[in-house]
Amino acid sequence: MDATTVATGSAASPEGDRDGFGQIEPAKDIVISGLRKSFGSTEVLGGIDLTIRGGDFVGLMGPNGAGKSTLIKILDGVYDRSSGQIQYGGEAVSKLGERPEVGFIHQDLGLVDELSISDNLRLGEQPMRRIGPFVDRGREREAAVRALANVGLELPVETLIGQLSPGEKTLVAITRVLERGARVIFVDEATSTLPPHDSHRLIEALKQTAARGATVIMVSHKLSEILDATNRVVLLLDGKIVADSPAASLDRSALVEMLVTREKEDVAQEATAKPRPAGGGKELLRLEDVKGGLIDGVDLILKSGEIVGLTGLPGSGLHDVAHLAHGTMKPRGGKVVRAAGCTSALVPPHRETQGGFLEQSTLENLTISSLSRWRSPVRLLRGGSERRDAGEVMDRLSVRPADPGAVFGTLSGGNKQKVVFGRALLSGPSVYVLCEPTRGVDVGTRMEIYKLIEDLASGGAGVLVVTSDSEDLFAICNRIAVVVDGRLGAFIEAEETNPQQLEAFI
Amino acid sequence: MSSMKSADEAPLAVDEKGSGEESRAARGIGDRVLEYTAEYGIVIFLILMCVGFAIWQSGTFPTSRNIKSLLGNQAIPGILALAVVLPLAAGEFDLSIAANLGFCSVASAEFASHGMTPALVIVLTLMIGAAIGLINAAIVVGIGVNAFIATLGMSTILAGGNLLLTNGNTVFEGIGESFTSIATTRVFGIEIVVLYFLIIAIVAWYAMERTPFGRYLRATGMAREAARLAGISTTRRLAGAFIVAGTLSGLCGVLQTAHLGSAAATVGPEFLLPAYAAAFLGATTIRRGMFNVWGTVVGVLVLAVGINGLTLAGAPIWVPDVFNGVALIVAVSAAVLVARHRERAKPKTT
Ligand SMILES: Nc1ncnc2c1ncn2[C@@H]1O[C@H](COP(=O)(O)OP(=O)(O)O)[C@@H](O)[C@H]1O
Ligand SMILES: [Mg+2]
Repeated sequence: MDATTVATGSAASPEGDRDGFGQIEPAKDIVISGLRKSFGSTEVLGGIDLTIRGGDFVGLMGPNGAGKSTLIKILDGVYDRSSGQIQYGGEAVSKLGERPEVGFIHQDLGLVDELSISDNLRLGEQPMRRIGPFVDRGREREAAVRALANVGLELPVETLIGQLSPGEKTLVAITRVLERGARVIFVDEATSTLPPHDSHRLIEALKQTAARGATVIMVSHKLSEILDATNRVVLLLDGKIVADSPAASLDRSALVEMLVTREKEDVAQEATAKPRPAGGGKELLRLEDVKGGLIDGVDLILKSGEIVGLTGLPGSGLHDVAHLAHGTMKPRGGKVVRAAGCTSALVPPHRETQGGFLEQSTLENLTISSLSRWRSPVRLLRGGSERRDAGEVMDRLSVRPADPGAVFGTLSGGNKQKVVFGRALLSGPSVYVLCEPTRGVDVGTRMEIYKLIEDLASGGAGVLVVTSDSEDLFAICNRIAVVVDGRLGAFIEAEETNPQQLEAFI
Repeated sequence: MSSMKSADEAPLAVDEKGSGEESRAARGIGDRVLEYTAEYGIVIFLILMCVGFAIWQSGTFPTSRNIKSLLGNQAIPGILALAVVLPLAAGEFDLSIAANLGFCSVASAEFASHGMTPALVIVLTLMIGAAIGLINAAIVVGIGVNAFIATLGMSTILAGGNLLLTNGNTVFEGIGESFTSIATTRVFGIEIVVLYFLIIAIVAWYAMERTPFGRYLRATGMAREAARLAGISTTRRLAGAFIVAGTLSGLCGVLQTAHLGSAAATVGPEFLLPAYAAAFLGATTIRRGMFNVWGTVVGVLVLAVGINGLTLAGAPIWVPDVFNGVALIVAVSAAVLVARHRERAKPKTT
């Protein structure tokens, strides 16, 4: 958003709307009709007709790759649409993002880590509209404090953004669009990468904002959030709206029904209602009082056929355990013992920065860890068998698009996750270290991933699931332990506990 | 460097069911023309330039003599440009390649003038080149010094070394026919260095595009942390890139001495900018957004043809430098603009 837009924006929205605890003036209706979008020859949105009334709280759902982000980015103006119309208050507009009344929160929040909260709130704004050359710091500060309180953030406004948790950053981003006069907020999968506690705060803040009169459109895969917060659920499938219901008429099972196709539902049944095999073949990996990163001594044994789950808050050192077990972090003390011939593969926690090579093809991303498999005696790559093996894995994980040449960076989040997963599968290790395996994936894919992890374990692999999503733990793990302040608590059999109990440990 | 990254090429995009063909056909003709023009812009520019000079300077440019000498003179800068591609693909600058060439040129001249056999001179000089690469690698990868700074320092040290070896004089005594022939022997009337350039380009292309080595190198250059977590030994790949670049620079040094029959104390620095200009021009074509071998070869030819044609047309002595500098800036700007354009078209969120 450039300075001129902001300047006009503040003129268009009198101070009154944006006043502290007060009501937000209801937004006008947004009417989207016949909206289409193609990338090259693939049609991603196939004619969207949607009316968002002022005051709606819309939950936008749909599997990965359905086109949710694309829709939001077109409305924002990041992408151009191929055809169709967008109206705001009966007036045709080319992009909503130009209007200060409409705010967009993409996953990349656009905040500057090195600046304070209050500086970030002011980012891109025109100091010119104040009278005289001096900024009234005191009043500005007060306004910032009040605005933050509106979303439930009680932090000194001098705090640097870099020191905030991911959830708090999202709250600051929301505050910023509200401060600029937003009455409509689009939030794209903001909670996918947040730990439960942060997600909860964010949802509360959005509910608050909606209660003050704002229109909210939220993309999420989390059923509980959608049921809790929204009053209308819109389901997008393959670029078309296939369902649009009042949230009050839906419950969890009705939502699952909407979201999961028949076939996947079977998978879901299987994944949740299975008798868990005891696990526990021969020992593959043992950590003895291992220290490193934030971890201050962890003991852990992983056996063949077993799925062990670890959880904890961010900052507890949870992911460091994964790196220590996999060998990507050198231990500061203690011992990591691997059975003879035991190899491991890692699915790293931060897909965007650690997961893969955005500019490379899906194929190259899939095979990078196991290229030696296709090396001919003269060290060349056998392209044919590489493609065949990668194609098999893509089929097995139903990666979309099914084209091995598709550029990794253009895949939707869940499909990126599948590719990173596929890379681990292709390397065929005896131990899988899976960090946040279901982060940002849709309900159907989640079930598929659970099924896959169970298949890996019954095939004799040892699986370490390191996750902040407790659903993962209860769906698939044999044993669960909580990491608190760099130490691992006692292991609990998954069958002997429940989410509430576990939460108490965290 | 990050500006060079872009999401574009998928060279292995072979769609076995042929549905890719269909979709390509379905796309607008206009789009495709635009795409090809962007993709092969530099190649088209090269062809246009050749045709233009052939018409403008019809008496001198399109003669076999001119073309042979043009190729003969570009082979060594060409090999040096290929040397640059490896560290660049791995995400690091090696600014010492030209000074390495200069040092190895002087060293090989000294060896040859002391009566060593050509084979021995070559082996010793290549070892020096490789050792310089190894030292670069140790400083950059081992200690973690910024590659730009480390290799800039190395360049200065090597330039000093040249003065030490030569006392500022040009070495030519005792460099015989048997030694110079390794560069000047003619095959079908073309100097053999051109053949070396071609062979090295083919080997480099194979290594970059058809072997695990190239994939690892690119992965290291694109996202080092992701590469490390995917099990690639990024430090070894980087070190390898520096060592190969050093060895190739050393080879350029021997060939340079053999080509000229002498080595001046100050030889080297003038090779640096054209090598980078060619590599960056190369990254705008063929595998757009990535440093690549054939693109670099095209880049070398663009610079060579441009300067040769302008010189034949009577351009003054300062033109080559300006041309090289402009080419480098234009190439990098193009890359930055393409990357920014893509950035905008790229999904921002997960
Ligand atoms: N810039 C792009 N170029 C090509 N294809 C894209 C691009 N952005 C998204 N896509 C494709 O569009 C489809 C929808 O993506 P997206 O809107 O991100 O899905 P969602 O947010 O619903 O998970 C996916 O198949 C994705 O691969
Ligand atoms: Mg999305």
